[in-house]
Amino acid sequence: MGSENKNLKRGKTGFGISNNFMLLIILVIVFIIFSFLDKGFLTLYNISTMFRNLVVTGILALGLTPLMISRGIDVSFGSNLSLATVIIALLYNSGLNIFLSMLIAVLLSTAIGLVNGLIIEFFNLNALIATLGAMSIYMALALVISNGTPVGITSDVLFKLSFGSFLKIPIPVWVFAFIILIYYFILSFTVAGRTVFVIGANPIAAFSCGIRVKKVRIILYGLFGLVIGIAAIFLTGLIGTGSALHGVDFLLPSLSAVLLGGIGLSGGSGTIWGSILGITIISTIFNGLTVFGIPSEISKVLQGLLLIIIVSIYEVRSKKIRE
Amino acid sequence: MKNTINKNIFIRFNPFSSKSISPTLVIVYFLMAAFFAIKNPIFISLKNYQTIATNAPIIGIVALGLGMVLLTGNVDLSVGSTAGLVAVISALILRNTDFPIMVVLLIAILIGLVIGTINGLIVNYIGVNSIITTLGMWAALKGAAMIISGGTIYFSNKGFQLISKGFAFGIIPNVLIYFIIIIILMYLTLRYTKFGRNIYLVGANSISARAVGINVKRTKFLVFLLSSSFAAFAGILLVSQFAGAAYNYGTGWEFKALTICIVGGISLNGGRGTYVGLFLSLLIIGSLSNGLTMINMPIYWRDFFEGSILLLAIIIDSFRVKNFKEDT
Amino acid sequence: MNEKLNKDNLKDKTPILKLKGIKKHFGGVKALDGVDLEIFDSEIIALLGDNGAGKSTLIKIITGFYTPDEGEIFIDGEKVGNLDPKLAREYGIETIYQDLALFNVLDISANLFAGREIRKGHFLLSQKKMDALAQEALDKTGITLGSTLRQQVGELSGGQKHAIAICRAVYVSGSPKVILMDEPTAGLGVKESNKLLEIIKGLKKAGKSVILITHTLDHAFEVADRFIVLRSGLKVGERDVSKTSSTELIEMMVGSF
Repeated sequence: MGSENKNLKRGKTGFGISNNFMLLIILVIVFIIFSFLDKGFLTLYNISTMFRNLVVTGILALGLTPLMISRGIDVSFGSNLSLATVIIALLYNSGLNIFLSMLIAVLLSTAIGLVNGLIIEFFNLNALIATLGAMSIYMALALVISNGTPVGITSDVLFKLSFGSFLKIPIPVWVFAFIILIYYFILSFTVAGRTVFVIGANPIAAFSCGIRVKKVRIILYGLFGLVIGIAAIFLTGLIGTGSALHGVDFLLPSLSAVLLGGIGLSGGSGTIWGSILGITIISTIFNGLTVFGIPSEISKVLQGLLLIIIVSIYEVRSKKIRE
Repeated sequence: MKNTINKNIFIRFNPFSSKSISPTLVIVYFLMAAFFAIKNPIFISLKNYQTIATNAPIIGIVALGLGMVLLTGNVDLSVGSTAGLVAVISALILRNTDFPIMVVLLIAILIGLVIGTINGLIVNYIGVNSIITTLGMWAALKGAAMIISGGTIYFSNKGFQLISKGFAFGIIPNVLIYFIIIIILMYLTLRYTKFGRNIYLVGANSISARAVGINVKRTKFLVFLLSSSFAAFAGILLVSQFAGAAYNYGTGWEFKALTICIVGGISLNGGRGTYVGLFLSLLIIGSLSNGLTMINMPIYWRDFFEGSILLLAIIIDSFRVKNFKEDT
Repeated sequence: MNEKLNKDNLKDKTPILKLKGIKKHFGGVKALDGVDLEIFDSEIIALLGDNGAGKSTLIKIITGFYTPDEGEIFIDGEKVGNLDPKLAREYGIETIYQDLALFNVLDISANLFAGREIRKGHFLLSQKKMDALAQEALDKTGITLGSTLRQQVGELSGGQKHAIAICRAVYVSGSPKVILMDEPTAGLGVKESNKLLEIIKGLKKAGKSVILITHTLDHAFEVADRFIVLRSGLKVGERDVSKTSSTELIEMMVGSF
């Protein structure tokens, strides 16, 4: 019985070798394919640009990971992100200090995360559907305060933050790596992290074991909000605009990345590294597509299909294992 | 211990329950209409009603199809993109060929059926969560519409335009007639056919449904066909109204249709809801957009307002299920 | 309906657990309609009743999973308000649920320590200590798993899963005072059932109390000191083991009284 389950990811935090290993191989293959198609692919410049660009998607996927491990989900993050970028741009343009603008935006996005969590947990709503509804509200809010038009922002600080490098590595990548380490540490070595897995594995049993499931989930939603704010800072810096329309482009890639990384919708298992690999694979592919001039409409179609394919593969796989 | 509040009142008559929501909706409608009428008397003019009756039934048809999917316990978020894609393709056909109207209509419905088949297969035979599946389709179809349209497509085919712009007996918009025919058909199906009964049973408890011999997978599959083909039909109506199509037609329709269904008493949990409620709900939501325009609410505030209604509806809907688990 | 029990040597002692007038309803359904219960240390009570009588609900109220709509709970004579699973555990109430409440995708060690992981400092997990204690507890339960502690619980057999649930409630929890078991022998083979009954008897010897829900009257007669019978949310009878028979108990459960 044990040997047939080799392909099942290990429930414990840490390396789920089989799954992550397979993702690593896929990543290597993708890299090889792209370096054949584009001579300039494997240069330091290109790689660091790619990583710089994947930071926003990456931070979002990272924040989504512990939430989804605990069987929660929040698809409103795209709109939350948009709103935060608009806030940063508007506040700064109206004369407020850039740091203060960023701080307020982060506080706001955290608050939104908390509100999501409170509403979902208090009313026992289906998180997927409720946050779908929330998504349209936050996007509408962003449209309202930006009056439907993107808000340009030029700030030296923001520019340096997003385009600067330290020791040849882009600053956003440093921040991203830092966040990865924090999440890895918390999930693998702390009681809080263990609790996240326990809740995801069986929420009712977790409650029977004395865990305050609702409280923990609300915190996770809030934490996700915080992370969204950070991602918003980089997004605003990279694009130089605060716009209500950007966020929706991140929904599918980040969600697909987490699902690709093995964090199923059924929770309780998964690793940070899985999500990282997922992000890298997805970002590399879509980044590559853009570089080759494939129009964004086709990317959109592919994103939708990829999401379905990823989940289908995992679904078929777990069906086979169950037999 | 916690003080005992006697909750028995709500057990006997819950104004928000799927079964008895109709009276509530009627009251809400009149209150709302009164509010708008006071602020802007044009609201209750015949002309305005005709405007509402020309726009609302189109999204109403989408909601009719979506409602079936919801009743079986699934969700279909691809309806908006389906309508948009069909609109774009139909417009293209109408501009570049002279296929007769019926053929274009048939093609449109066919596209809807294909999309519905894909959705239905993935959700029911592979087993992927319906929200994720239809979310993916939402994106894919939207992208496809963008690719195919490459901008706005205009055509002029007066006969085609009459489909949705015409008025029966001079005052009732054709689209309203279509809607009424379809809703009556749906109502009869749900009430009097085996298929309709199956839908409710599957939604209420799919395990028991299977135990009594209902082919759960097939029932759940078939409703996706309905949903997508209704959306396709709505797409045709849209194209006919505007004599053209742009890739962003149908955007946000999934949310609007979802709102109409939930407010109308169709529960997200499946198995509950009536099409009478849906009709009243369409009346309210359809008039709402119109009313908000009448009182000059800025456009983005309208989106915010309508989004809030969806969330509110979801929250109220969560009270419809008797929960035996207090926590978690 | 409620007959006074002969508790000669227990008359002056404070019950470890006392429930008074417990009522609980779900929607329009009254699961419990005013139930009293007392249990003293070193006592084994068998909670009997037909399906829907309210046994599981009562257990879940004692364990803090549900909050009663009316009624009071006393632990060691002290009134306890707002009991939740965390608090119940702190008071020494441990539970083995009917569905075992295990975490299939987590490993054995994680299952045993769910909700009360051993810490290194304030925030960190002490995996080493947990593994050591887990091994000890498993040995005490008398199970040989033939696998490591990293084994996913979902991959274990039914009997092994039961053993993990028992191990968690009895040995990992430190010193439980009252152990509740909801149909613990359901789905167990003869050998494993007997082992479980031995464990229950051992608990009584160690001064602990057990409330046992079971449909197998033989098992109940083998270990219980007292029977409490519920029917339609009410306590219809309480009997000493030596003063009753299966027939009488069944009559009480079913209601041909």
